Amino acid sequence: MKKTDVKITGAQTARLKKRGFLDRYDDYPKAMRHGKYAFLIAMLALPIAGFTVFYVVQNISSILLAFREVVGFDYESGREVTRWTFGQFQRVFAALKNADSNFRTSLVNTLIYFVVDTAVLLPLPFLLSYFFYKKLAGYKFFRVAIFLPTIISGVAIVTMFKNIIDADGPIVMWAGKLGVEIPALLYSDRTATPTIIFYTVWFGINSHVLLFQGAFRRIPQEIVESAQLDGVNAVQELWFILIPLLKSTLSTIVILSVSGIFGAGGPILLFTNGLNNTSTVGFWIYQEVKVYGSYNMPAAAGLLFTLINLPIVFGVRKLFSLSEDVEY
Amino acid sequence: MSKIKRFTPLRIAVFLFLAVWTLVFFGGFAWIILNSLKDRLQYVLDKTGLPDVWRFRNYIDAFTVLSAGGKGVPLMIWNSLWRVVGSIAISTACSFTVGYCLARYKFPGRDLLYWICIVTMMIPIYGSMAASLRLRAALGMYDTPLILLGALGIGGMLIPYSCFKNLPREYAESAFMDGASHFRVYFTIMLPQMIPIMTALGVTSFIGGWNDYMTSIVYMPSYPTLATGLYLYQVESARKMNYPILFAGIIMSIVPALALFIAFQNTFLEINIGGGLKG
Repeated sequence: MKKTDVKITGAQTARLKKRGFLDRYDDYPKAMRHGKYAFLIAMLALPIAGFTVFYVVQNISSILLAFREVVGFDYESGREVTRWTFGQFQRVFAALKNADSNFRTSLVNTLIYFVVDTAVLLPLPFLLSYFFYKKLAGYKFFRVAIFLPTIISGVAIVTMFKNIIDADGPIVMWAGKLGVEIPALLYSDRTATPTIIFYTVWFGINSHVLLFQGAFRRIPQEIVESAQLDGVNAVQELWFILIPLLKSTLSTIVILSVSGIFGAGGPILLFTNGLNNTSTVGFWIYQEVKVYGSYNMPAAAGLLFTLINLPIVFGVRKLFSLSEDVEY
Repeated sequence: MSKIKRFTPLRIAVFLFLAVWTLVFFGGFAWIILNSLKDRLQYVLDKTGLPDVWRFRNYIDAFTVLSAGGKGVPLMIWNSLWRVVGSIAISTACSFTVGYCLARYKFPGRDLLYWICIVTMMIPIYGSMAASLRLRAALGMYDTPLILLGALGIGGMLIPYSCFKNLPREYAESAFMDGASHFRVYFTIMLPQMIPIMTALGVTSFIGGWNDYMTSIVYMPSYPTLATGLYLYQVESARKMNYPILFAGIIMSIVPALALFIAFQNTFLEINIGGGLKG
């Protein structure tokens, strides 16, 4: 294509040089610029104020809490007397070393939840989505059915589950008739956490299914059909055609999962209220803050977890952005 | 279509797994429904049989028997409604406004604001519950309806942003040429085109909020919602618990979310966090 010459007159150059700071942001024609900044300020003021207070101020104050401890109470002002310290972090590390501490149990449980979630709740939903894509018998019904646990409240499902597996509930009774003895699962240290893990997996099989299904649907049918004409078998089709095409969705899901390592867990409050060694990091923070009114150590532990999680999140993102994306 | 082997044994295994899963899920709720119709005493004596007398009255009694912290079911439903609708209204207004301004205007700090939106979404922050509680107490929001103001912010703007970005520029430009103000263009031309997406996001958030039991426990103990109330009833009444009536309450609490799901089923199953809304 021939390049068109544009003549710039002296007056235009002078005008361009005189452009003010805000003029650089004039994307609309002149008629539309009137009142632009009044509009932007009016529209953005509240959301930005909300963000400043409930995100910036809140998180800064959380960081500050991590470096303070309560040393007394001033009855005149009715306020706690606090001082700067690294003591909260020492407490966190001491609790980590103590095998009997609730904090350590919580962290160990959280990591178990994370590992099980990653090992089961990534491949299983992928497999289900694959077979939905391949139109498994009854797939339309199943994909609605497995979605229901996200519609129905945790309180309802946990109440149902707890009462069914209860010591005098139907499962234990039927098993008893068959001569199988089932212990009270939620009341022993050994079985309580595995039971809640089973619950989170069983009712969590829908996790990411919508994302996977959306990705499967977007796969161009021509590619799959031409591969089938070339005679690929199902394994080759999955491994060499479908998985590479789904790479960006798979990486999104892995990044999402890794981002929430220390948030992994189940509805502990509803199941056991943390008894029988079932606590998780999320529950521990809730219990410390809300039940025991201890604010500083949870803030310190939270800060540590955030700092540990940060390089992991960025590392995984980097890892996935290094390998090439398949365009289609 | 060529006939290729399709993991037949695995296919059967997946089918069987889903069949068992469905049976357990629906079986579990069928058991809850059956027991919600029993007499209190019959439930204690016989947990697996059919009700001797079908007590549909349990569903009416639930309104008076179930309570938490002295608050009954009607009040809980009211708390659920105003809290969910209020916070969705505020957060939707914020996310669409921020999304619109970022997608359609250039202004100093725009790129920074966009970057902040993305980064804050990506990084999970743990342990800020204490600071959050203190802040809300200091602002006089704790345990009052003012807690809704916490929904103000810039989160959730990504889907509105990409939707506004994809709208053709011409609509707005011709309105501007006719002398419409920025406010008028936004509220009467741009926003109405977002109603389907707003509805989809709103319905999803409604169900999430309706089922949320934690917010009331942590921030609004005097205003238990239905989900919170049904949990607290179990904690407070312990041995005096009337199970059939609790189960009736549980079933009733499911109905609104389930009805919305049935009405908007396709929206739910098509919603796609990664690529915004499809279709």
